[in-house]
Amino acid sequence: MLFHRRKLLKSNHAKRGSKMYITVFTCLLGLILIWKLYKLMKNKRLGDDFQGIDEELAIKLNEGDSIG
Amino acid sequence: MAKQAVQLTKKKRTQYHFQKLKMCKKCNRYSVLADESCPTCGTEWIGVESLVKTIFKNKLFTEAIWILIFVSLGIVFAPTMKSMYYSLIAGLVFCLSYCLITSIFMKSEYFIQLRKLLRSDFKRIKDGIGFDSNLAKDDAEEGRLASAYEKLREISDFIENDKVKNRSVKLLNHIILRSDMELELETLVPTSYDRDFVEYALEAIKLNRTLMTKKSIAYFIQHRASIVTDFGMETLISVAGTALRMKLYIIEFADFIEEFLEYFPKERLLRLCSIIHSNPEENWGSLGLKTRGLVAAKYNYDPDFKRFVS
Ligand SMILES: [Zn+2]
Repeated sequence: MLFHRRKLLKSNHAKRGSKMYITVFTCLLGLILIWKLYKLMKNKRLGDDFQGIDEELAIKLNEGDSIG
Repeated sequence: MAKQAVQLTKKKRTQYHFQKLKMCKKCNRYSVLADESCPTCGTEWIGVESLVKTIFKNKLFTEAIWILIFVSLGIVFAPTMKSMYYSLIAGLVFCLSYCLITSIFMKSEYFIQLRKLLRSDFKRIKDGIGFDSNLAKDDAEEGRLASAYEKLREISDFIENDKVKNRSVKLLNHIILRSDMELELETLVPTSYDRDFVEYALEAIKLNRTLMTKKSIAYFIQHRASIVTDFGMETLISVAGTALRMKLYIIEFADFIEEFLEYFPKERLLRLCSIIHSNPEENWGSLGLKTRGLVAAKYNYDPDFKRFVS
């Protein structure tokens, strides 16, 4: 009887541990995904102004000791 | 020095200037020239866009490896068979979602990577263009004028200063210009008076009048005193004549045109009359009055002007 209860307790414990493991693992994956999405959205807000890249390059190349 | 008869290649155009940047991986040097391979080591150039794509791919690959390691560890260390299956499913869903959002934001990520590369490699880009400029100098000194000019033409997309412009016009003044050449003028307009530029501009507009744009006309007006001293009044008459090309220019430079009205050849005056006549709603002011007066006095009985004389 005692042995049977112990076995049941052990099984419940394992079940809880397994549930906990899945929860933590899934949460971690979710957090990584949210963090990645946040980073991507932040970069997206910076825009994709390729003309701006040209202008920035021109300004930097033409300031100071210019090539000639 | 006699002028050289040369063949100029057509300039390769890109949507953005940075797309012309390329790199030799062996010399670790950037260039903006049109050559296919590095003149120092002969290695084929890698375009800046390909370079960014490679860096971007490597970054994605490293990320993918880390994700796979993490998911695999999650599966391996699962305490029960059931949790192992759950971890596997969660891992797969995670990987798919990760790939999906990465592909959605691909363009902005590529942009960030490109900007990062250009910012971090800025010094090397400048040194590379400096090296290109020295190659153009060597070409000019060794008499390869076309090659030297073509190099400067590419450099001027990035470096906009009077030194580069003056070197270009000096080379062009030693080349026999032809109408089939892809000539430029507006991009060569310097910030101060440059005799070489005026000499080139006068040669170029003889071949292609459309090269004379607003900026160039304004340059001739701004430096008219020096131009008259060096090249004579005829030069300004010819420039004022080219301003008759477009209605917009006539309105913009009406005073300048009015000054030389009586010196215009018949064909130019006819052009002016035709523009004034076809745009009666425009306020032509004293230019309109003076033109009508001149036509009445000089071409009253000329059949070509008949429709303008009332
Ligand atoms: Zn090389």
